[in-house]
Amino acid sequence: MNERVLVVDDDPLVVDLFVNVLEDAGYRVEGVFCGKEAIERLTAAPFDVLLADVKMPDVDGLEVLRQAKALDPEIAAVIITGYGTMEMAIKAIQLGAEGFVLKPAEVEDLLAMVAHAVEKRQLIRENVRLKALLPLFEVTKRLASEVEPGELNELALDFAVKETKADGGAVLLRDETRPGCLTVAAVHGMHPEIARAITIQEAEDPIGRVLQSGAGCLLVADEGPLGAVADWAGAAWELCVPLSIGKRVLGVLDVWGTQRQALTEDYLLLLSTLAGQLAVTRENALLYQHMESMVEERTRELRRAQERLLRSERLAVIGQLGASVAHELRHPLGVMRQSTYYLSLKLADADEKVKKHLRILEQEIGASDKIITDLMDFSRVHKPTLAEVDVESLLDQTLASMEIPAGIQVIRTRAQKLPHIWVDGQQLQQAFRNLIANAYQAMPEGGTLYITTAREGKYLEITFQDTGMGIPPAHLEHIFEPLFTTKERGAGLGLGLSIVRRIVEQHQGTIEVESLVGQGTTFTVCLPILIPEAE
Amino acid sequence: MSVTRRILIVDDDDAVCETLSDVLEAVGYHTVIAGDGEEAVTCIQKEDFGLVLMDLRMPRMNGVQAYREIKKRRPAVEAIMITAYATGDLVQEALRAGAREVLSKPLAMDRLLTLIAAVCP
Amino acid sequence: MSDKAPAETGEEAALGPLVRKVGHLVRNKLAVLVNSTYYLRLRLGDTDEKVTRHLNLMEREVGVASAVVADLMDFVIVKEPARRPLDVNQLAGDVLSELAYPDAIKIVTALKPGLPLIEADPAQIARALEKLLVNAVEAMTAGGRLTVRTGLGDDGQMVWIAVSDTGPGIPVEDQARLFDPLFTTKPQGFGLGLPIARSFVERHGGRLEVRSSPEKGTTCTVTLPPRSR
Repeated sequence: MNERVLVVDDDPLVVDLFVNVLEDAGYRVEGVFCGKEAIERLTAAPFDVLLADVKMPDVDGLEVLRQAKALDPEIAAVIITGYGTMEMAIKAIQLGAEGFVLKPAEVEDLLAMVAHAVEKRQLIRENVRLKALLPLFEVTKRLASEVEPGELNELALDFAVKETKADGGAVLLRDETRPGCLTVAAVHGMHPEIARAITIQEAEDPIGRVLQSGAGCLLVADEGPLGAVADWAGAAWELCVPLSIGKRVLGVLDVWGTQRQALTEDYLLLLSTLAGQLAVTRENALLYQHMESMVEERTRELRRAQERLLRSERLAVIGQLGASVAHELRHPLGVMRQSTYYLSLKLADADEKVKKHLRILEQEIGASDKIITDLMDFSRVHKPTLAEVDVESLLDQTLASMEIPAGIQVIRTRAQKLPHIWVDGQQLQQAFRNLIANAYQAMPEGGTLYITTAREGKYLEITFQDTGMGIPPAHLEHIFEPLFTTKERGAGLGLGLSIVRRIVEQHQGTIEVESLVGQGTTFTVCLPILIPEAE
Repeated sequence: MSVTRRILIVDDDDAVCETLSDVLEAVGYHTVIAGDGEEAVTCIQKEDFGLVLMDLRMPRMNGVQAYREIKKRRPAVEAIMITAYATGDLVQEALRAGAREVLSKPLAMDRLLTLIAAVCP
Repeated sequence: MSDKAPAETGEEAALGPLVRKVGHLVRNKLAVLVNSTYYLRLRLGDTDEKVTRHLNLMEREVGVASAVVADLMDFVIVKEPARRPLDVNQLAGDVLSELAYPDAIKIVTALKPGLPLIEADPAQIARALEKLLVNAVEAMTAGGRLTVRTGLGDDGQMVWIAVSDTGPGIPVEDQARLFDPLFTTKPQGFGLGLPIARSFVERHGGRLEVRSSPEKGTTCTVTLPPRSR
């Protein structure tokens, strides 16, 4: 109900009657007495139903019908006709009238006819909408397969302008770099350079209200100001719908025309639907691009992780072999140690040379043991078993378990309330031990070792700084490599620092070194403050 | 002591040299120790030896090169090479250079002493 | 964002040199131990039974340690064979004579005469054979027969050497893992023997096959290509 009806008949009584009847039935009715006036009214405002007498002196009903249909092809028209004008009635039907009412009209017949006409028009409109949607589906399909946001805008705009028979249109987007302003992302019917030169301030521009309200609107030049771009184009009307995703309004889809035409809410609906599609596909396109790069990054990461896993698996097998060998060697070394011990006891009173060789036996067995231990440590950096550890007390323990060489001072700087971290305490202690031993060895004539702990964001930072001989730049880049050693021959395998790095990296941490020859070396270990995954 | 009972021991590991020297001296030879090939050549220039016991794999100058240098100066010096690890090619080279034997560490001492006795009567 | 094969980076690349270095260092240490032990023996002679016993222990254990190191080196470090024309029958004979066997084991040889010479590194093939022989002997704890045969392959070209024992055989479920370096059925020690033997043989372009059953015992066959002309 609530349709707007225009009644035109040269007989005022008829008009009066029809107006009353229809108003009672709930329609909004206007009545005029001649064809010319009818045409004027139709041009000025949209009507849903036209009730026109065929036979009128100046402009007859057919002409009115013709004009009405020209203005709005979907208007429902019912012709009022007398018996003498059947041919005209048929012609009217041919012109698109829905039906006719015979004079004198029974009220029921009239209402039925009007209702029928309205219904038919509804059907036609739906049909039109559906038909209009078909290209929309097409466009949607194309939009969905288009991945470039720029292309999307063009596609949507093209469709919008065509379907609304507009003279031009634009996609205006909110400018993130300039809040309160809109930029022209695409434009039809105007030179892009000109369009881009127009400044559109959301607060001042009439289309601003679309952005604010999130609802589409029709602007008519006679009734009020148009948006800046449409105005520039010299448009007579402008249809503007928001481009939004959920609650976020990204901008507007705007079309305008210079020809006055009956624009119905269908166009608004069409444009809104299109705008909705555009917004979604645009977001998708952006997301897609983002996703593509994310997928690329993820793939790379996965591959690196796989390589790491492969490498660590391989190392694990080889490590096991190393551990196996080391274990095998431990046994004979153990026997030798016992035998040497016995011999030293038994031969305590032997001469110097014998005692010397006994000492040599002990030393070499010890040295072999150290090599074996190094090998085992290197092989044994397995997956950490995590437990909550207080790093400060772990450092205390490690220092306590090692003899501080004469002339060396150890200064600890403790952070306030350092959080406990989840690490493999045994491995970490091994790492600390190696770093501290390294520092001691760098200061054979004494010096100071500074050990500092601090929290850096999501990491725990532990630095070991010595005042020793330092490491020359050429060696610095190799220092974590296994077997790299600058120490005298016979001093072991040079695995200490590579083990430290292994352990630190197994915990997803990092280790860095800085050094100045003659001044000292600083090792910085960063360990993430991990939260263990729930079992 | 006759020249043939003078043995030059060459190895970059001091402990190996020292302990081997003690054993040989206990058996009646006179030994001199050198830490690498160059030092060995210097020793040969100063004194004569009947035998040089040399590690095949040493830094800078390996056993074979050292022995060749030694032979240039004193061609009569015999050599027994000892090695913890060597490729077949290096062993071949040593034998071609005139070494009597290539023995692997750790040494079978009885065999070594028997061999030395044969080479240096 | 390196796409290098994992073996090329960092730690794996260090493994060969690491093993070499360990081998070298440990062997030097062992050499010193041998020397000093020998010196003590020279000086102390047979003065005290216990002293002698411990000195013997030292020597024996050094031998054990040496063997372990040697195995490790052989397995991890792939040396390019120093090839030479080789008579397999002579090699088999040499290797057999250098090992010591318990009395309960009977040695039988069936070496086919007139076999073509092969081109191989004698030390490596000898070591492979040695490993097979040691395995065979260890399998026959209650005594048995150790057979070494040589022959010419079906193609008339390849030369084979087979080492057989009359031991209990290898259980079917273990047979798949025979060449796995960490797999061993021995109570002590690790089983690098077969992997090492195979490594040496395959380096020469040959094959090592194992056939085993509870009734017949185990036979390991080494097949080697002849000299290429």
